[in-house]
Amino acid sequence: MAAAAAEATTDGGGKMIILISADGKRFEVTEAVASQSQLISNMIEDDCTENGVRLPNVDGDILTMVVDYCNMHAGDAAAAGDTMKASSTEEELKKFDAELVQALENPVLFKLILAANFLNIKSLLDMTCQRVADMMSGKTPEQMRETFSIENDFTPEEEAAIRQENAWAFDD
Amino acid sequence: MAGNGKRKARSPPAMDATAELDDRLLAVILLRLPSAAALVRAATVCRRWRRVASSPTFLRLFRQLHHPLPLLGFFVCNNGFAVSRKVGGELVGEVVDPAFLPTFHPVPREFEGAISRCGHFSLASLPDVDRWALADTRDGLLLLCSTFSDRMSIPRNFLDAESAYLGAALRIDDDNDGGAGGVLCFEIIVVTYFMPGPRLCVFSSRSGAWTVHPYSDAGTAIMPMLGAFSDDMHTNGSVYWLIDDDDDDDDDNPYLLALDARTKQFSNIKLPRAMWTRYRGNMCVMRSDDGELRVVAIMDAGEGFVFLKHYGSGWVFALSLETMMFIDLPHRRFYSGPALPYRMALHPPLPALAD
Repeated sequence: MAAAAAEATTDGGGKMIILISADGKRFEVTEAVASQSQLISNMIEDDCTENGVRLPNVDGDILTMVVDYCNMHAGDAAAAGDTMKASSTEEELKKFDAELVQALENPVLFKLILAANFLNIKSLLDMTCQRVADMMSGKTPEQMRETFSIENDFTPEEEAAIRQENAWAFDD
Repeated sequence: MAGNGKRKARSPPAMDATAELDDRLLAVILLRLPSAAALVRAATVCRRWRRVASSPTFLRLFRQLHHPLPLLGFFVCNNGFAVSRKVGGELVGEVVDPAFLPTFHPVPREFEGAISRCGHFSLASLPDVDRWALADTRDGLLLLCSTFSDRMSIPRNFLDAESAYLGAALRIDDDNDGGAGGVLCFEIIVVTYFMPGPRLCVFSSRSGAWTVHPYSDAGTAIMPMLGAFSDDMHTNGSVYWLIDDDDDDDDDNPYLLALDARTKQFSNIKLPRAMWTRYRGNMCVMRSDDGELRVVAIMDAGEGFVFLKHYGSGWVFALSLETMMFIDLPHRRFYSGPALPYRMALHPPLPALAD
């Protein structure tokens, strides 16, 4: 019914979908862009995206980043007729990803992980989780606690015992 | 806010950045750590991280993703026989401890501790028996056999005492739903030989008991005489024996008998006759990184290294197949018998913690 209104012809990049963040912000994206999210891809298949997709646990600012990411990466998923997108070369993508990931810091990084997990966007989840792992590696336990504001809930005896047992991991 | 970060106050969990992640997501992140050492340090951060990083399922995945863990070196034990140790030409005593030959020269800082512990490994605390021989290594465990290592002298009190000894293997038992509380589970497989074929005695650390597996059909009609078996060779979870029947009857091709330590199944691998006549008595089984099985004509091999040894002059070299570089191993005089690879272990670094 509404098909004619929202949907341009197939070579225009396909149907548009509205994503609605927890705080009510609306994002209009193509199906090709949105279906990088396995969650939304399933919804598209089940035909329940007609009235927009509400994402009650993703804030607008996070969803902005997710949509940017998906727009940028739509090219490699589905080579749509959009020549602009298709021209984002591998190199550009790498640069984009690297800059995005480098800029991510604590609260936003973890919100993005949760969003990528909820929306089931594997590449974004991989990338953000790797960022956290990179932030952990090469650090001592104290430095990790500081980085992530984690409280040390071991007793001093327990921690001493663990360190004793695992001395090999601390020899440096 | 930031000020109470230093306090030991147990009240508010500050603003733990990882608090919103469920355990599964935390595990996904920890799996991406680059090394076992990084994992162990992360497991020292707090109880929750420790719990997630210690679960047997997690550790199994971590091992799979980080396979293989760094190869620290090789234990060689001269088949359990004492080696005289000389200092400045003076005989100062006999050594029976396995010698550890590190693969790194120089040793990178991150492995210094682990390698020095391997170097100081000693059998001094063991019961005094004639000799201890190293039978297998796996994930930080060493399997030692006492008089077993002499084929015909299986102890009388052993459950399969009327048989001869063919070999022994160690298997880390990381099948699912086991290893409650992060405890390492393992199996010891002793292979014995008694007509009509090989028999397995398996010890499981889960049950704490030995079981004897019935006679296994090894796939050959007639089993060879005991003397036809080579020493056991260990590679990637299987044990191999070269079978040299030596009965000038050309019907029987030489073959390898293989035991998969996981499935406990035996199988046969036929060898080309030409290879046999050429390299007989000087062959070894190895597996390359792509999982392909190779029989090569060298003295000993494994884990991407080929060992060249010369009894007369006592030199030992290891050739790294990856870099095609020779490594001059330091304890040259020791070498006889198998060289068993020792990899960085994930156990017991993460013992369960009583909550």
